[in-house]
Amino acid sequence: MFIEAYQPKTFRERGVSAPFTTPLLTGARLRAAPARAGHVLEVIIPNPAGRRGVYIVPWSESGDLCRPTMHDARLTETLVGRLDLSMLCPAIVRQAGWEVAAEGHAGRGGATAAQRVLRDNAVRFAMMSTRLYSVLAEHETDAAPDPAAWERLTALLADIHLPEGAAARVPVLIDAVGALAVALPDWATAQSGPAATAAQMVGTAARLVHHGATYLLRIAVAQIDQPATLLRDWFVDPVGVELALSRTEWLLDGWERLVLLWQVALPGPAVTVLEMAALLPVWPDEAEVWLELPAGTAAHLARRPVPPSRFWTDPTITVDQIARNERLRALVT
Amino acid sequence: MTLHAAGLPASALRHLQRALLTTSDEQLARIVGVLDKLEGRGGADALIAPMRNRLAQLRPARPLTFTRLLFTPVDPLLVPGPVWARGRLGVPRTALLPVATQVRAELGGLVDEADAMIRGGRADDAALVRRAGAMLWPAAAAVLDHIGQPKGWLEATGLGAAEYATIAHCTASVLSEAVWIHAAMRASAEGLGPDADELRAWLEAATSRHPEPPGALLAVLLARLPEAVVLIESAPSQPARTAAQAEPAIDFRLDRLEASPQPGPDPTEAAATVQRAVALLNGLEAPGPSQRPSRKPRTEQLRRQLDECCRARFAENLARQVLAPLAEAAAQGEMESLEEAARGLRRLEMAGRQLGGEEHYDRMLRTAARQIGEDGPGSLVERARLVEILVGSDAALTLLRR
Repeated sequence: MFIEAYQPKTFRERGVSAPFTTPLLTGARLRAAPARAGHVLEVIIPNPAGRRGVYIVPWSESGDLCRPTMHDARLTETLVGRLDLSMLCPAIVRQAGWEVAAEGHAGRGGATAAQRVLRDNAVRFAMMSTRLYSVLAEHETDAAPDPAAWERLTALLADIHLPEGAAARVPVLIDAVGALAVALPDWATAQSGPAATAAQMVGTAARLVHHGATYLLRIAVAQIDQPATLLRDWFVDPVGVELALSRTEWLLDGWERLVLLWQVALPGPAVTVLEMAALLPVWPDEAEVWLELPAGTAAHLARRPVPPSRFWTDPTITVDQIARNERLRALVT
Repeated sequence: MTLHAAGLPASALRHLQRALLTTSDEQLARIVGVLDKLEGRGGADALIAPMRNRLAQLRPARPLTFTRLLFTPVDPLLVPGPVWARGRLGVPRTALLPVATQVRAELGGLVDEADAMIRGGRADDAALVRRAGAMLWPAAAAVLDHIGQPKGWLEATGLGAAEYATIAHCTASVLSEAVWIHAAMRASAEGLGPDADELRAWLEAATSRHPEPPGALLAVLLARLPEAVVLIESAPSQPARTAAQAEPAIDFRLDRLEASPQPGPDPTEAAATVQRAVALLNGLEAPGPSQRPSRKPRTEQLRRQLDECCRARFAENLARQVLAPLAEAAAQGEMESLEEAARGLRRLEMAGRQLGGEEHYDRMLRTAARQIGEDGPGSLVERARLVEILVGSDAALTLLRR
């Protein structure tokens, strides 16, 4: 199904950015299929022509549009085989992506990077876990946390705000998006034509996301800095607390790839910014509530014109496209 | 250390040349590397002259010297000294050193800047060539438009003053447009090259900027941006003198392709070479103003020649760069270099398919994938990745799930 004016209502409806290496799936998102749809997983693919619009198809039918790489096939197998897909969120897709990459499906560079990330995450998880257990011990409670939910909460908090000033993933990504918001307009000043327009557009979008994510992070960090209250609330409403804390993550979802694309800039910066403009994540209406924006802001942002990009639609360079996407996997931190 | 041809008897030179003709590609590349390090090239150019075509295919890594940088834009026009003839397109190689020496002397402080910029650089570093060239080429073009015949011109080239003027003006016309041409080449490689309107506008402006016939400029354009052939020959939109020069420029380009149809051993470079040749042939054979029935047998023959060379290069590279080193790469944990070689092969194959031989490529790739997948060395995932690069993910997943 092709939708030209795609404006999801919620972040879950927008889907989760997946680290696909298949050229046509660059920037594509995954989401759970609606009940009784006859399939479990849907993929939302940016218009391959590099213009406005998305295709939404069952993952099982994605082979009609492209030949997913071995990496992407393994990634979706992992997700479908392991999860209740209604829980699909950025953290889950990211974890599955690292596991598949660690097996070597995105090449040696991707495997090395993923193994390092998994090790680092284990350390961060342990730091956060120690802290949460100590808080739990201080505030004697009879409630025993559900192990899976407890693990999810710990991982979520470890991504947002670590004790003793250690670098957590989300603030690092926010800084990277902020740097992108400066770098792209700088680059555009010496350019002209569609690439300059695209660079300004992506720079502006990066600035908006940077502001929004910084705002949401501040709220989340304030909660984490009151761990006793946080845990008390979590025991009452685990899903609600998780959702509130993961807002920054949802807003940033898809931006890590844009940051990496600019870092690699293959085959050159001009074609890269055109590709980035075509892959800019749409803001669902829900973002207006989270960020206290006037109604209609998200729809207004979605109306920005996308400069056409030609290079990555060339079918003769598939191997280069896959290699470039795998290189992004090797840069993930 | 210098090498002086003058101190070498002709018989000794011939003997050395004969010896070079039978050396392997690797040995020849090493010898050229040694010659490139000589302070004075002297007879080095004479020594390797018979190997020029082979070197053009081998493309060994060469240091970026002032002379090489200066004449990079003119490269598609270079012909051996004895082949060059007045009234025909081309720049004799024998002219390079004397002209470069004179340009150096005239440019003053700019030479130091250029030397500093290219010190330690390589001739195949396109970004460095573009950057240093943007500084050097326009200035050199302006100098060449007014300086007289260099010292030692007659001794070096055997040519007179009139020939010098022709060569200098032809070189100047190309150098003065080189920044645009190289920027357009780069943009084209990114898929953002000039469209037909932009090319047409540039062509009209460029040819009107130079008083001499634009044949050299057109021949360079055909080598660098061959899709422009359609515009060059679409006479109604071009000034009469451009249209008149189109035929010789096309013939010159076809001569060069016929003389050296074999793509080099680097598969990525080879793919780009084949792509450019195919774009030229497609342009010449497409219905429209550039189509000439009289040229058809020649383009068809060239297409067959290129197809054969491309298949041969593909087969050789598949065997030498992927299958032969497979066991060692797996043992050494260097499968990444093999993956890159396999990607290069796919680039070459995609370019080659445009000339024909689809079944040939399919068969060779399938055979190689079977060999790697069934009993190749390396882990299952490593082998599956190579299979995926060579024949696609379906075969790789089948291997993985077996």
